[in-house]
Amino acid sequence: MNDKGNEKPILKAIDQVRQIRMTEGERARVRAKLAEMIAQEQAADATAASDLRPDKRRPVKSTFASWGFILAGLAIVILFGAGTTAAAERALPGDRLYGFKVRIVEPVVGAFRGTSDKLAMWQASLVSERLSEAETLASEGRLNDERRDKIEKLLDKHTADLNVALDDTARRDSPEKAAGIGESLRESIIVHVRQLDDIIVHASSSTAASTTRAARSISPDAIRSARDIKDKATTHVRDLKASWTAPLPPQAQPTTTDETIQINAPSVPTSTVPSIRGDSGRIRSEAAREPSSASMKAAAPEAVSGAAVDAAFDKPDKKARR
Amino acid sequence: MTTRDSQLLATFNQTYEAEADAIFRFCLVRVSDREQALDLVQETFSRLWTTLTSGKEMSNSRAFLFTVAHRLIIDWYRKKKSLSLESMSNEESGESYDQADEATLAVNLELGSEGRFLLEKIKELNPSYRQAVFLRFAEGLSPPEIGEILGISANAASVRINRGIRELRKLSGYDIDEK
Repeated sequence: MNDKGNEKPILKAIDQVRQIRMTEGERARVRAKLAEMIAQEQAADATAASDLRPDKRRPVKSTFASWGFILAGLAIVILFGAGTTAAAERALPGDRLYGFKVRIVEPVVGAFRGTSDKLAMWQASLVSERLSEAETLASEGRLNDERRDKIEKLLDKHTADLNVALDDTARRDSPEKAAGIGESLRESIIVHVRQLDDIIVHASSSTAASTTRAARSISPDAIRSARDIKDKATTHVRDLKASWTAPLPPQAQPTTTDETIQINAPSVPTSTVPSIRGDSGRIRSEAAREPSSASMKAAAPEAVSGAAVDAAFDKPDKKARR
Repeated sequence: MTTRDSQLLATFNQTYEAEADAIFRFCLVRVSDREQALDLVQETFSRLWTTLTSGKEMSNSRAFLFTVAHRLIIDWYRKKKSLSLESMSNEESGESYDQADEATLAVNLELGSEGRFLLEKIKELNPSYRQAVFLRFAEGLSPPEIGEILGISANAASVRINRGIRELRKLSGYDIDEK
Protein backbone atom coordinates (compact mmCIF):
# COMPACT_ATOMS: atom_id res chain seq x y z
CA MET A 1 0.00 0.00 0.00
CA ASN A 2 2.56 2.53 1.13
CA ASP A 3 6.06 1.49 0.34
CA LYS A 4 7.94 4.73 0.45
CA GLY A 5 8.67 6.91 3.37
CA ASN A 6 8.44 4.92 6.58
CA GLU A 7 8.69 8.17 8.48
CA LYS A 8 5.14 9.06 7.47
CA PRO A 9 2.94 9.46 10.53
CA ILE A 10 0.13 7.58 8.81
CA LEU A 11 2.32 4.49 8.60
CA LYS A 12 3.21 4.74 12.24
CA ALA A 13 -0.48 5.05 13.05
CA ILE A 14 -1.36 2.02 10.93
CA ASP A 15 1.41 0.07 12.58
CA GLN A 16 -0.01 0.90 15.97
CA VAL A 17 -3.51 -0.09 14.96
CA ARG A 18 -2.13 -3.43 13.81
CA GLN A 19 -0.69 -3.97 17.25
CA ILE A 20 -4.19 -4.45 18.62
CA ARG A 21 -4.42 -8.14 19.32
CA MET A 22 -5.67 -10.72 21.73
CA THR A 23 -3.58 -11.58 24.75
CA GLU A 24 -2.16 -15.09 24.77
CA GLY A 25 -4.71 -16.02 27.41
CA GLU A 26 -7.62 -14.76 25.33
CA ARG A 27 -6.30 -16.46 22.25
CA ALA A 28 -5.99 -19.72 24.15
CA ARG A 29 -9.43 -19.37 25.65
CA VAL A 30 -11.16 -18.86 22.31
CA ARG A 31 -9.10 -21.68 20.85
CA ALA A 32 -10.12 -24.01 23.66
CA LYS A 33 -13.79 -23.21 23.17
CA LEU A 34 -13.51 -23.85 19.45
CA ALA A 35 -11.65 -27.10 20.10
CA GLU A 36 -14.39 -28.22 22.42
CA MET A 37 -17.03 -27.42 19.82
CA ILE A 38 -15.13 -29.37 17.19
CA ALA A 39 -14.54 -32.31 19.53
CA GLN A 40 -18.24 -32.49 20.33
CA GLU A 41 -19.13 -32.36 16.69
CA GLN A 42 -16.70 -35.11 15.89
CA ALA A 43 -17.98 -37.25 18.72
CA ALA A 44 -21.44 -36.92 17.19
CA ASP A 45 -19.98 -37.79 13.80
CA ALA A 46 -18.19 -40.81 15.23
CA THR A 47 -21.50 -42.14 16.46
CA ALA A 48 -23.02 -41.56 13.06
CA ALA A 49 -20.07 -43.29 11.44
CA SER A 50 -20.43 -46.32 13.66
CA ASP A 51 -23.91 -46.70 12.25
CA LEU A 52 -22.23 -47.37 8.90
CA ARG A 53 -23.16 -44.05 7.38
CA PRO A 54 -19.75 -42.48 7.11
CA ASP A 55 -20.75 -39.82 4.61
CA LYS A 56 -23.80 -38.48 6.32
CA ARG A 57 -22.88 -35.92 8.86
CA ARG A 58 -25.23 -35.78 11.72
CA PRO A 59 -25.90 -32.31 13.07
CA VAL A 60 -24.54 -31.72 16.52
CA LYS A 61 -27.00 -33.23 18.87
CA SER A 62 -27.39 -32.33 22.47
CA THR A 63 -26.66 -35.09 24.94
CA PHE A 64 -30.09 -34.56 26.27
CA ALA A 65 -32.04 -34.75 23.04
CA SER A 66 -33.07 -38.37 23.04
CA TRP A 67 -35.98 -40.53 24.05
CA GLY A 68 -34.08 -41.85 27.02
CA PHE A 69 -33.68 -38.40 28.36
CA ILE A 70 -37.26 -37.44 27.70
CA LEU A 71 -38.54 -40.51 29.53
CA ALA A 72 -36.14 -40.01 32.40
CA GLY A 73 -37.01 -36.34 32.52
CA LEU A 74 -40.70 -37.15 32.67
CA ALA A 75 -40.15 -39.63 35.47
CA ILE A 76 -38.19 -37.12 37.52
CA VAL A 77 -40.56 -34.28 36.78
CA ILE A 78 -43.52 -36.40 37.87
CA LEU A 79 -41.70 -37.24 41.08
CA PHE A 80 -40.22 -33.88 41.97
CA GLY A 81 -41.76 -31.11 39.89
CA ALA A 82 -40.39 -29.28 36.89
CA GLY A 83 -38.83 -26.25 38.54
CA THR A 84 -36.66 -28.32 40.83
CA THR A 85 -35.31 -30.42 38.00
CA ALA A 86 -34.48 -27.47 35.79
CA ALA A 87 -32.74 -25.70 38.63
CA ALA A 88 -30.88 -28.86 39.58
CA GLU A 89 -29.38 -29.12 36.11
CA ARG A 90 -27.45 -25.94 36.69
CA ALA A 91 -26.50 -26.71 40.29
CA LEU A 92 -22.83 -26.60 41.28
CA PRO A 93 -21.10 -28.33 44.18
CA GLY A 94 -22.05 -26.41 47.29
CA ASP A 95 -25.50 -25.57 45.94
CA ARG A 96 -28.49 -27.02 47.68
CA LEU A 97 -29.69 -28.89 44.64
CA TYR A 98 -26.36 -30.39 43.71
CA GLY A 99 -26.98 -33.60 45.65
CA PHE A 100 -30.29 -33.98 43.88
CA LYS A 101 -28.57 -33.46 40.57
CA VAL A 102 -25.82 -36.04 41.01
CA ARG A 103 -27.64 -38.60 43.15
CA ILE A 104 -31.06 -38.60 41.51
CA VAL A 105 -31.31 -36.79 38.19
CA GLU A 106 -28.13 -38.13 36.64
CA PRO A 107 -28.46 -41.78 37.71
CA VAL A 108 -32.09 -41.84 36.60
CA VAL A 109 -31.24 -40.35 33.24
CA GLY A 110 -28.41 -42.88 32.98
CA ALA A 111 -30.78 -45.71 33.76
CA PHE A 112 -32.83 -44.78 30.74
CA ARG A 113 -29.90 -45.11 28.40
CA GLY A 114 -30.87 -48.22 26.49
CA THR A 115 -27.59 -49.59 25.25
CA SER A 116 -24.13 -49.86 26.72
CA ASP A 117 -22.61 -47.46 24.21
CA LYS A 118 -25.19 -44.82 25.02
CA LEU A 119 -24.57 -45.38 28.69
CA ALA A 120 -20.85 -45.02 28.11
CA MET A 121 -21.41 -41.75 26.27
CA TRP A 122 -23.60 -40.56 29.08
CA GLN A 123 -20.92 -41.41 31.64
CA ALA A 124 -18.37 -39.63 29.49
CA SER A 125 -20.56 -36.55 29.38
CA LEU A 126 -20.76 -36.64 33.17
CA VAL A 127 -16.98 -36.55 33.41
CA SER A 128 -16.99 -33.43 31.22
CA GLU A 129 -19.80 -31.95 33.26
CA ARG A 130 -17.83 -32.39 36.50
CA LEU A 131 -14.82 -30.69 34.97
CA SER A 132 -16.98 -27.83 33.69
CA GLU A 133 -18.31 -27.42 37.20
CA ALA A 134 -14.78 -27.29 38.53
CA GLU A 135 -13.92 -24.62 35.95
CA THR A 136 -16.92 -22.51 36.84
CA LEU A 137 -16.19 -22.77 40.55
CA ALA A 138 -12.50 -22.08 40.06
CA SER A 139 -13.03 -19.07 37.85
CA GLU A 140 -15.49 -17.63 40.32
CA GLY A 141 -13.14 -18.35 43.20
CA ARG A 142 -15.63 -20.68 44.84
CA LEU A 143 -13.64 -23.85 44.71
CA ASN A 144 -12.58 -25.19 48.10
CA ASP A 145 -11.30 -28.47 49.55
CA GLU A 146 -14.73 -29.87 50.26
CA ARG A 147 -16.05 -29.16 46.78
CA ARG A 148 -12.86 -30.44 45.25
CA ASP A 149 -13.21 -33.73 47.15
CA LYS A 150 -16.78 -34.05 45.99
CA ILE A 151 -15.87 -33.48 42.36
CA GLU A 152 -12.92 -35.85 42.58
CA LYS A 153 -15.00 -38.58 44.14
CA LEU A 154 -17.60 -38.24 41.43
CA LEU A 155 -14.91 -38.22 38.75
CA ASP A 156 -13.61 -41.54 40.09
CA LYS A 157 -17.09 -42.97 40.14
CA HIS A 158 -17.95 -41.81 36.63
CA THR A 159 -14.70 -43.18 35.27
CA ALA A 160 -15.27 -46.53 36.96
CA ASP A 161 -18.82 -46.70 35.59
CA LEU A 162 -17.57 -45.59 32.22
CA ASN A 163 -15.00 -48.37 32.12
CA VAL A 164 -17.68 -50.94 32.86
CA ALA A 165 -19.88 -49.51 30.12
CA LEU A 166 -16.97 -49.40 27.70
CA ASP A 167 -16.10 -53.04 28.46
CA ASP A 168 -19.68 -53.88 27.73
CA THR A 169 -19.66 -51.90 24.52
CA ALA A 170 -16.45 -53.56 23.38
CA ARG A 171 -17.91 -57.00 24.05
CA ARG A 172 -21.39 -56.51 22.66
CA ASP A 173 -20.76 -53.94 19.99
CA SER A 174 -17.21 -53.52 18.84
CA PRO A 175 -13.91 -52.56 20.43
CA GLU A 176 -13.64 -49.76 17.85
CA LYS A 177 -16.81 -48.17 19.09
CA ALA A 178 -15.61 -48.32 22.66
CA ALA A 179 -12.28 -46.86 21.62
CA GLY A 180 -14.12 -44.09 19.74
CA ILE A 181 -16.03 -43.08 22.83
CA GLY A 182 -12.89 -43.25 24.94
CA GLU A 183 -11.08 -41.15 22.39
CA SER A 184 -13.63 -38.38 22.24
CA LEU A 185 -13.76 -38.21 26.02
CA ARG A 186 -9.99 -38.04 26.08
CA GLU A 187 -10.10 -35.05 23.76
CA SER A 188 -12.75 -33.40 25.83
CA ILE A 189 -10.77 -33.92 29.04
CA ILE A 190 -7.66 -32.46 27.45
CA VAL A 191 -9.63 -29.36 26.54
CA HIS A 192 -10.89 -29.11 30.10
CA VAL A 193 -7.42 -29.57 31.52
CA ARG A 194 -6.28 -26.70 29.33
CA GLN A 195 -9.08 -24.50 30.53
CA LEU A 196 -8.28 -25.27 34.14
CA ASP A 197 -4.67 -24.54 33.32
CA ASP A 198 -5.66 -21.24 31.82
CA ILE A 199 -7.62 -20.31 34.91
CA ILE A 200 -4.79 -21.39 37.20
CA VAL A 201 -2.09 -19.57 35.28
CA HIS A 202 -4.11 -16.40 35.10
CA ALA A 203 -5.06 -16.58 38.73
CA SER A 204 -1.50 -17.32 39.81
CA SER A 205 0.05 -14.54 37.87
CA SER A 206 -0.61 -11.16 39.35
CA THR A 207 0.60 -9.57 36.15
CA ALA A 208 -1.94 -11.42 34.04
CA ALA A 209 -4.42 -9.31 32.16
CA SER A 210 -6.97 -8.07 34.64
CA THR A 211 -9.61 -8.25 31.94
CA THR A 212 -10.10 -11.94 32.57
CA ARG A 213 -12.68 -12.79 35.11
CA ALA A 214 -10.37 -15.43 36.50
CA ALA A 215 -7.73 -12.94 37.47
CA ARG A 216 -9.84 -10.96 39.84
CA SER A 217 -9.73 -12.64 43.17
CA ILE A 218 -9.02 -16.31 43.51
CA SER A 219 -7.74 -17.60 46.78
CA PRO A 220 -4.64 -19.81 46.88
CA ASP A 221 -6.95 -22.55 48.17
CA ALA A 222 -9.09 -22.38 45.06
CA ILE A 223 -6.01 -22.47 42.87
CA ARG A 224 -4.65 -25.49 44.72
CA SER A 225 -7.99 -27.27 44.45
CA ALA A 226 -8.23 -26.50 40.76
CA ARG A 227 -4.74 -27.90 40.35
CA ASP A 228 -5.71 -31.07 42.21
CA ILE A 229 -8.70 -31.60 39.98
CA LYS A 230 -6.59 -30.94 36.94
CA ASP A 231 -4.10 -33.60 38.08
CA LYS A 232 -6.92 -36.00 38.71
CA ALA A 233 -8.33 -35.41 35.25
CA THR A 234 -4.86 -35.90 33.79
CA THR A 235 -4.57 -39.22 35.60
CA HIS A 236 -7.91 -40.29 34.24
CA VAL A 237 -6.84 -39.42 30.75
CA ARG A 238 -3.79 -41.61 31.24
CA ASP A 239 -5.92 -44.49 32.51
CA LEU A 240 -8.25 -44.12 29.61
CA LYS A 241 -5.28 -44.04 27.33
CA ALA A 242 -3.90 -47.21 28.83
CA SER A 243 -7.08 -49.17 28.42
CA TRP A 244 -8.39 -47.99 25.09
CA THR A 245 -5.61 -46.72 22.94
CA ALA A 246 -1.87 -46.95 22.59
CA PRO A 247 0.22 -46.90 25.77
CA LEU A 248 1.98 -43.74 26.90
CA PRO A 249 5.55 -43.30 25.81
CA PRO A 250 7.75 -43.44 28.94
CA GLN A 251 9.65 -40.23 28.17
CA ALA A 252 6.46 -38.23 28.27
CA GLN A 253 6.23 -38.26 32.04
CA PRO A 254 6.45 -34.87 33.74
CA THR A 255 10.05 -34.02 34.47
CA THR A 256 11.64 -30.64 34.96
CA THR A 257 10.80 -27.05 34.30
CA ASP A 258 13.82 -26.79 32.02
CA GLU A 259 12.28 -29.25 29.67
CA THR A 260 9.06 -27.32 29.55
CA ILE A 261 10.78 -24.15 28.64
CA GLN A 262 12.69 -26.02 25.99
CA ILE A 263 9.58 -27.55 24.53
CA ASN A 264 7.81 -24.25 24.38
CA ALA A 265 10.61 -21.81 23.82
CA PRO A 266 9.53 -19.36 21.15
CA SER A 267 12.84 -19.87 19.35
CA VAL A 268 12.18 -23.56 18.75
CA PRO A 269 10.78 -23.87 15.24
CA THR A 270 7.28 -25.22 15.29
CA SER A 271 7.27 -26.68 11.85
CA THR A 272 4.60 -29.20 12.69
CA VAL A 273 1.00 -28.51 11.84
CA PRO A 274 -0.14 -25.65 14.04
CA SER A 275 -2.50 -27.32 16.37
CA ILE A 276 -5.57 -26.28 18.19
CA ARG A 277 -3.90 -28.06 21.06
CA GLY A 278 -0.98 -25.72 21.12
CA ASP A 279 -2.75 -23.50 23.58
CA SER A 280 -1.24 -24.65 26.80
CA GLY A 281 2.11 -24.38 25.15
CA ARG A 282 1.35 -20.74 24.57
CA ILE A 283 0.24 -20.21 28.09
CA ARG A 284 3.39 -21.80 29.24
CA SER A 285 5.70 -19.81 27.10
CA GLU A 286 3.94 -16.76 28.41
CA ALA A 287 4.53 -18.03 31.92
CA ALA A 288 8.16 -18.72 31.14
CA ARG A 289 8.68 -15.15 30.07
CA GLU A 290 7.16 -13.69 33.19
CA PRO A 291 9.52 -12.55 35.93
CA SER A 292 9.81 -15.32 38.49
CA SER A 293 7.67 -13.78 41.15
CA ALA A 294 6.46 -15.92 44.01
CA SER A 295 3.15 -16.39 42.30
CA MET A 296 4.74 -17.57 39.11
CA LYS A 297 6.68 -20.17 41.01
CA ALA A 298 3.40 -21.57 42.05
CA ALA A 299 2.32 -21.76 38.46
CA ALA A 300 5.48 -23.38 37.19
CA PRO A 301 4.73 -27.00 38.22
CA GLU A 302 1.47 -26.68 36.32
CA ALA A 303 3.42 -25.68 33.31
CA VAL A 304 5.41 -28.87 33.54
CA SER A 305 2.57 -31.26 33.84
CA GLY A 306 0.48 -29.43 31.27
CA ALA A 307 3.23 -29.55 28.69
CA ALA A 308 3.86 -33.16 29.51
CA VAL A 309 0.22 -33.87 28.87
CA ASP A 310 0.59 -32.26 25.46
CA ALA A 311 3.72 -34.16 24.70
CA ALA A 312 2.22 -37.37 25.94
CA PHE A 313 -0.95 -37.15 23.98
CA ASP A 314 0.01 -35.59 20.76
CA LYS A 315 2.25 -38.35 19.53
CA PRO A 316 0.33 -41.56 20.14
CA ASP A 317 -2.81 -39.68 19.39
CA LYS A 318 -1.89 -39.20 15.78
CA LYS A 319 -0.99 -42.85 15.44
CA ALA A 320 -4.15 -44.00 17.06
CA ARG A 321 -6.23 -42.01 14.66
CA ARG A 322 -4.85 -43.44 11.51
CA MET B 1 -11.04 -39.00 12.65
CA THR B 2 -10.58 -39.39 8.92
CA THR B 3 -7.74 -38.00 6.86
CA ARG B 4 -10.11 -35.42 5.46
CA ASP B 5 -11.03 -34.32 8.96
CA SER B 6 -7.37 -33.97 9.91
CA GLN B 7 -6.74 -31.88 6.84
CA LEU B 8 -9.71 -29.67 7.62
CA LEU B 9 -8.53 -29.29 11.17
CA ALA B 10 -5.05 -28.36 10.00
CA THR B 11 -6.48 -25.76 7.62
CA PHE B 12 -8.71 -24.46 10.36
CA ASN B 13 -5.84 -24.19 12.84
CA GLN B 14 -3.65 -22.41 10.34
CA THR B 15 -6.40 -19.96 9.54
CA TYR B 16 -7.05 -19.34 13.22
CA GLU B 17 -3.38 -18.67 13.92
CA ALA B 18 -3.09 -16.38 10.93
CA GLU B 19 -6.32 -14.41 11.10
CA ALA B 20 -7.65 -14.46 14.66
CA ASP B 21 -5.93 -11.22 15.62
CA ALA B 22 -7.15 -9.36 12.54
CA ILE B 23 -10.72 -10.46 13.15
CA PHE B 24 -10.40 -9.55 16.80
CA ARG B 25 -9.12 -6.08 15.85
CA PHE B 26 -11.92 -5.63 13.34
CA CYS B 27 -14.47 -6.50 16.04
CA LEU B 28 -12.85 -4.68 18.93
CA VAL B 29 -12.78 -1.27 17.28
CA ARG B 30 -16.53 -1.58 16.72
CA VAL B 31 -17.99 -3.18 19.80
CA SER B 32 -17.63 -1.81 23.24
CA ASP B 33 -15.64 -4.43 25.08
CA ARG B 34 -13.05 -7.14 24.75
CA GLU B 35 -15.28 -9.93 25.96
CA GLN B 36 -17.83 -9.10 23.30
CA ALA B 37 -15.12 -8.96 20.66
CA LEU B 38 -13.81 -12.35 21.78
CA ASP B 39 -17.29 -13.83 21.54
CA LEU B 40 -17.56 -12.51 18.02
CA VAL B 41 -14.19 -14.00 17.11
CA GLN B 42 -15.30 -17.36 18.47
CA GLU B 43 -18.58 -17.25 16.59
CA THR B 44 -16.86 -16.19 13.39
CA PHE B 45 -14.44 -19.11 13.52
CA SER B 46 -17.11 -21.56 14.50
CA ARG B 47 -18.92 -20.58 11.29
CA LEU B 48 -15.71 -21.06 9.37
CA TRP B 49 -15.51 -24.60 10.72
CA THR B 50 -19.11 -25.33 9.82
CA THR B 51 -18.51 -24.09 6.30
CA LEU B 52 -15.30 -26.08 5.96
CA THR B 53 -16.94 -29.31 7.08
CA SER B 54 -19.94 -28.77 4.84
CA GLY B 55 -17.55 -29.35 1.95
CA LYS B 56 -17.97 -25.95 0.34
CA GLU B 57 -15.04 -24.65 -1.61
CA MET B 58 -13.51 -21.61 -0.03
CA SER B 59 -11.27 -19.54 -2.22
CA ASN B 60 -10.53 -16.79 0.24
CA SER B 61 -10.93 -17.63 3.90
CA ARG B 62 -9.75 -14.19 4.91
CA ALA B 63 -12.55 -12.43 3.07
CA PHE B 64 -14.96 -15.06 4.33
CA LEU B 65 -14.00 -14.39 7.95
CA PHE B 66 -14.33 -10.63 7.59
CA THR B 67 -17.67 -11.06 5.88
CA VAL B 68 -18.98 -13.22 8.70
CA ALA B 69 -17.58 -10.90 11.36
CA HIS B 70 -19.07 -7.90 9.57
CA ARG B 71 -22.53 -9.50 9.57
CA LEU B 72 -22.24 -10.62 13.17
CA ILE B 73 -21.34 -7.10 14.23
CA ILE B 74 -24.34 -5.73 12.37
CA ASP B 75 -26.56 -8.28 14.09
CA TRP B 76 -25.03 -7.36 17.40
CA TYR B 77 -25.78 -3.69 16.82
CA ARG B 78 -29.33 -4.42 15.77
CA LYS B 79 -29.85 -6.39 18.91
CA LYS B 80 -28.18 -3.80 21.06
CA LYS B 81 -30.11 -0.80 19.99
CA SER B 82 -32.76 -0.26 17.42
CA LEU B 83 -31.43 2.22 14.95
CA SER B 84 -32.68 5.72 15.29
CA LEU B 85 -34.33 7.34 12.29
CA GLU B 86 -31.50 9.75 11.96
CA SER B 87 -28.80 7.13 11.73
CA MET B 88 -30.90 5.15 9.28
CA SER B 89 -31.19 8.05 6.92
CA ASN B 90 -27.45 8.50 7.12
CA GLU B 91 -26.61 4.95 6.29
CA GLU B 92 -27.10 3.03 3.14
CA SER B 93 -29.31 -0.03 3.30
CA GLY B 94 -28.29 -0.94 6.82
CA GLU B 95 -24.93 -2.25 5.78
CA SER B 96 -22.95 0.15 7.83
CA TYR B 97 -23.24 0.77 11.49
CA ASP B 98 -22.25 3.21 14.09
CA GLN B 99 -19.11 2.82 15.99
CA ALA B 100 -20.06 3.06 19.59
CA ASP B 101 -18.52 6.04 21.30
CA GLU B 102 -17.30 3.88 24.09
CA ALA B 103 -15.83 1.47 21.59
CA THR B 104 -12.57 3.28 21.34
CA LEU B 105 -12.20 3.27 25.12
CA ALA B 106 -11.30 -0.40 25.18
CA VAL B 107 -8.78 0.21 22.44
CA ASN B 108 -7.31 3.44 23.75
CA LEU B 109 -5.68 1.79 26.70
CA GLU B 110 -3.24 -0.13 24.59
CA LEU B 111 -2.84 2.13 21.62
CA GLY B 112 -0.23 4.77 20.93
CA SER B 113 -1.36 8.31 20.23
CA GLU B 114 -0.90 8.07 16.45
CA GLY B 115 -3.00 4.93 16.21
CA ARG B 116 -5.67 6.41 18.40
CA PHE B 117 -5.75 9.54 16.28
CA LEU B 118 -6.15 7.50 13.10
CA LEU B 119 -9.00 5.44 14.54
CA GLU B 120 -10.72 8.59 15.73
CA LYS B 121 -10.46 10.15 12.29
CA ILE B 122 -11.73 7.00 10.62
CA LYS B 123 -14.63 7.15 13.01
CA GLU B 124 -15.43 10.67 11.84
CA LEU B 125 -15.67 9.58 8.23
CA ASN B 126 -18.96 9.20 6.41
CA PRO B 127 -20.33 5.85 7.66
CA SER B 128 -20.28 4.31 4.23
CA TYR B 129 -16.52 4.90 3.91
CA ARG B 130 -15.44 3.77 7.36
CA GLN B 131 -15.32 0.02 6.87
CA ALA B 132 -13.74 0.28 3.45
CA VAL B 133 -11.01 2.58 4.72
CA PHE B 134 -10.35 0.51 7.82
CA LEU B 135 -10.11 -2.73 5.89
CA ARG B 136 -7.86 -1.15 3.27
CA PHE B 137 -5.51 0.48 5.75
CA ALA B 138 -5.46 -1.59 8.87
CA GLU B 139 -5.81 -4.98 7.21
CA GLY B 140 -4.42 -4.27 3.77
CA LEU B 141 -7.28 -5.97 1.96
CA SER B 142 -7.79 -5.46 -1.77
CA PRO B 143 -10.79 -3.58 -3.22
CA PRO B 144 -12.37 -6.80 -4.58
CA GLU B 145 -12.05 -8.41 -1.14
CA ILE B 146 -13.54 -5.37 0.54
CA GLY B 147 -16.37 -5.43 -1.97
CA GLU B 148 -17.06 -9.04 -1.12
CA ILE B 149 -17.07 -8.31 2.60
CA LEU B 150 -19.35 -5.31 2.36
CA GLY B 151 -21.59 -6.93 -0.22
CA ILE B 152 -20.85 -4.41 -2.96
CA SER B 153 -18.99 -4.60 -6.27
CA ALA B 154 -15.24 -4.20 -6.47
CA ASN B 155 -15.75 -0.92 -8.30
CA ALA B 156 -18.05 0.43 -5.66
CA ALA B 157 -15.50 -0.61 -3.04
CA SER B 158 -12.74 1.26 -4.92
CA VAL B 159 -14.89 4.34 -5.08
CA ARG B 160 -15.57 4.22 -1.37
CA ILE B 161 -11.92 3.68 -0.54
CA ASN B 162 -10.83 6.60 -2.70
CA ARG B 163 -13.45 8.99 -1.44
CA GLY B 164 -12.85 7.80 2.09
CA ILE B 165 -9.13 8.41 1.77
CA ARG B 166 -9.73 11.87 0.35
CA GLU B 167 -11.98 12.66 3.29
CA LEU B 168 -9.53 11.14 5.74
CA ARG B 169 -6.75 13.25 4.30
CA LYS B 170 -8.80 16.37 4.85
CA LEU B 171 -9.76 15.37 8.37
CA SER B 172 -6.38 14.18 9.55
CA GLY B 173 -3.93 16.22 7.57
CA TYR B 174 -2.09 13.02 6.80
CA ASP B 175 -0.29 12.74 3.51
CA ILE B 176 -1.95 9.59 2.28
CA ASP B 177 -1.02 7.63 -0.77
CA GLU B 178 -4.06 6.40 -2.62
CA LYS B 179 -2.35 3.39 -4.12
